[in-house]
Amino acid sequence: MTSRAATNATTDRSRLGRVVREALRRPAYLSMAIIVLVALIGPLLVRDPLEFLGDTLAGPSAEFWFGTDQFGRDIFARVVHAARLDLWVGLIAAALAVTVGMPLGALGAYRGGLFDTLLLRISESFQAFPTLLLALGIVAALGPSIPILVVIIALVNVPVYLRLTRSAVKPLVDSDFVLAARCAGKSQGAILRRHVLPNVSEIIFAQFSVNVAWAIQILAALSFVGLGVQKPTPEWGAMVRDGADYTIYGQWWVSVFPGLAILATVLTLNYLSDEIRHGQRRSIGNR
Amino acid sequence: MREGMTSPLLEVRDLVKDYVSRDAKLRQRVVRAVDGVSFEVWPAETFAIVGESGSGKSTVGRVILKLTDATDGHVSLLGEDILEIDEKRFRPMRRHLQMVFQDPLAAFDPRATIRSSLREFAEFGGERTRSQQNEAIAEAIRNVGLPPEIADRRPAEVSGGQLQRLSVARSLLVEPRLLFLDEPTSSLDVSIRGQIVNLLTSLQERDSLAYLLVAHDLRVVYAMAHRVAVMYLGQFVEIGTRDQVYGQAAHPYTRGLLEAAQLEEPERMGAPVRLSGEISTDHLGSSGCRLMPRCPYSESKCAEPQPLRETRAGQLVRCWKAVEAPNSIGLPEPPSPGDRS
Amino acid sequence: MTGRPASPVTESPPLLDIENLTVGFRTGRETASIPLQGVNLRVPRATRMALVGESGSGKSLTAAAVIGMLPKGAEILAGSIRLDGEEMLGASKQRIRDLRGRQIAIMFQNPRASLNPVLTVGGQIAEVIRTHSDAGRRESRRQAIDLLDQMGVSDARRRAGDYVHQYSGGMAQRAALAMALSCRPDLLIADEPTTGLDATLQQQVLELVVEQVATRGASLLLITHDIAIARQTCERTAVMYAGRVMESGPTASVTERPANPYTGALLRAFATVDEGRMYAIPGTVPTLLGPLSECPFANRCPDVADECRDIEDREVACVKA
Repeated sequence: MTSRAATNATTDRSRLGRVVREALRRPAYLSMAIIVLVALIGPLLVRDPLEFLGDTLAGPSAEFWFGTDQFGRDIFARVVHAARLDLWVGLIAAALAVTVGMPLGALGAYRGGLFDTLLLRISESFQAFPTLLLALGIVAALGPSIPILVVIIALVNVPVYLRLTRSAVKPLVDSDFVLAARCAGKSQGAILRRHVLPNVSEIIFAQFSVNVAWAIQILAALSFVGLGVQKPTPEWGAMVRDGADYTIYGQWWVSVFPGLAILATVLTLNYLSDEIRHGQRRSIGNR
Repeated sequence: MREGMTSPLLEVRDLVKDYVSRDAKLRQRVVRAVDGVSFEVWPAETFAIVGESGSGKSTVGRVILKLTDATDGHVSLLGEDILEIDEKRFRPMRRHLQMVFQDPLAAFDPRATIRSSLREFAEFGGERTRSQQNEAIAEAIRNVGLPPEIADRRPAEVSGGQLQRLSVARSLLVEPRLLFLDEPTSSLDVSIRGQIVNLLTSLQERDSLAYLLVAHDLRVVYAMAHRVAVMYLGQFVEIGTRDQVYGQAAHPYTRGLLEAAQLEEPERMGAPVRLSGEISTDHLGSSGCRLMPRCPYSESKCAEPQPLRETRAGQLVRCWKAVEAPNSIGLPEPPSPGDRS
Repeated sequence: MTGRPASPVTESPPLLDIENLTVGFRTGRETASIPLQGVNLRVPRATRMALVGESGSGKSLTAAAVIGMLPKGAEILAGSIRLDGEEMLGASKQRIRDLRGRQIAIMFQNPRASLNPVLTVGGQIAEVIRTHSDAGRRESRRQAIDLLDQMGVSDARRRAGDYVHQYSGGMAQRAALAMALSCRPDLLIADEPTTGLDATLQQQVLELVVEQVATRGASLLLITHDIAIARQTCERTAVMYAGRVMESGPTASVTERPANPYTGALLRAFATVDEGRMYAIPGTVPTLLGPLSECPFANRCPDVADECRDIEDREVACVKA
């Protein structure tokens, strides 16, 4: 018994080692980990993002790494604080979209018929509308507040999941192992839960990563036109907007650093999505 | 006493299945995949349906298992018409009726271990406790000649032949009366096909299982079947005992199939038949003989409706020439009614 | 200098001569498996040769090596492939392309794999004819229609203008054969050309392949899992198992008096059966992770003997044969 426990412990340890090595081999995971870490504990380590600390519009220096903005606030501190907000909004909006879109899409694929056609048509007409315009319209009507922003961003992403899940589930519905489960007397719900959704989860996860990126972009875009996060709360898109006026006078840092933050996060999330998809292909290839 | 000897386990009457599709111009197109099929399966019997792909033979099995809806007809299982009842009420009856798939790798959830795939069947009806389930799973795996430890693996880690045995073991966990075998050997290498055939035969002998076998490998059908139906474009064109269909085939289609399969035995009656062309859904709607465009013996009268008619005791054939003018299609005269044994 | 001699004397090299062909798969820097373990195979001119084997025997991989289309990760570890006496392994890429393009054509299990879906069937056959002769547009088109007609495509003039997805399975395989023959090959490699087809069609297509290859004086290398097909179509048969040729010779002697126990077992598995029982070879195919020092069939062979366990320095596939 003891020897067996010991072997288990070593395999656990080597498994942890493997996870760490794998993460290092794939820069997307590493980069994502750094961004999450910055968002989680970064705000505790940097200066107050709202305080007027020094000269206005001072360039990057040893004291203010990213320089200061028009009110003398530390841009580095603001970028780090904004990371938390942008990532949260992105995550929650994408999560909300997936919880609504995935079951609907799966049900549509499974049920077929009028229900499916109706769902498809509704989501198509939703998607035919320019996303940003749609979001703009709703925010303009309801007024900008962070919960409303989250819900709106989630809403415009629901059709994406709905259609993705539907197309992933569709071939599984008639697959032999699903028919076998029906022969075993399993109900539709049980089959969806045990056989269908687990087999599409990687596709959904890969899309989830892309969607967080989209959500962040939409938030930034809304803030850029002044309908997103309101002053003085630091948000990347709003910061880019604030700095835009100064860029033409050579004070580029006000816009460029938050812009780079958006770029890095969106790129990382997209790479991560590719990695998840490749990982899935590898594990199927090993079969 | 074996019950059910006086009545069939499964009785299929005038089964019809239409598939509706739309072409590029959104015109509705109805394909009648199964067109008035009738047969019954008795306990401990193997009833085989043979035919080329596209003949509709697999669809018959799937309709009977209620995996797809029938368009018309009756299917009674142990005396109850199962086409009349909904999925929920049919679920407990699934215990009697199970299926073995063509490709075992597709029939198992790729993510699940073999044990958890088998457990789904072991927990049928909720009668077994967890430990009884484990015992039943181990027993079922031993029954098909494999070590119970294999249950810890995933489908991709097991060879095709072993996985097909496990597929049989899985369906037997609910103690069915009838197994629908859908091309059970065609995804396997020739050297191991025999393993599955022999396993199925011994299980049948032991448990009086009935099989509905759908296959295009005529060797496998010859080894397993008691009665054989030959299907072409949705209709049975010939039905009889195995020896009748293999030894005294009357329909040109059956004879063409046997000829193409190059079987060394049993000896066949009459002249060899060569079929030209290939099966095509274009001939599906025809009210006459659907083999006409491919049959070397066809003439204008073949365009009239062709019912199934008896040639020899228990042997039915859907070809007027086979009954009325056997000589014209290279067959000897059938024995006169008085000679029937 | 071409390898083709002036007169067909006995010394002329075989059309295709494969010697000790060893192919391995690597993952990273290590060789993970050796699916071909020294294959020897000769296809003489104007001969129909069947290469019979179960899945995993290496029959398709052998064909892939001949046409230079090994899958990713596979590499030739040893051996030689000579086409008409000229060594292909190590020759310049241009030379290999020339040789293969002129002399070898291939037909796959899926006929749609060898035809371009966005070009008309007749159009792409005509294009191949143009690159292999000095025929003009009109002439090559006429020849393409002619070729389709010879392959039994009914109403060839009209069907030449169709796309491959408009062809039925049997017709598509006929078109694929026309495509393969359009470059006038000396060797046609057919990899399971009838496996997806029903028995009645299988017979039609095989007879057509045999007839066409014979009238053109070409050789055929027919890769199949079905020894009955070999018997029906080919003069010579080679039986492969676990990356080796186990037995090779005239089809009649291989199938009627098999010298290798594996051939015998395979033939028994194909024999017609009765009373619910069929013959099955016990056990499973060995995994070819490294070079085998014993006969690959030793663990399943009914006649296994001690000397079967050490065949390292031998060329014969069965010590008892």
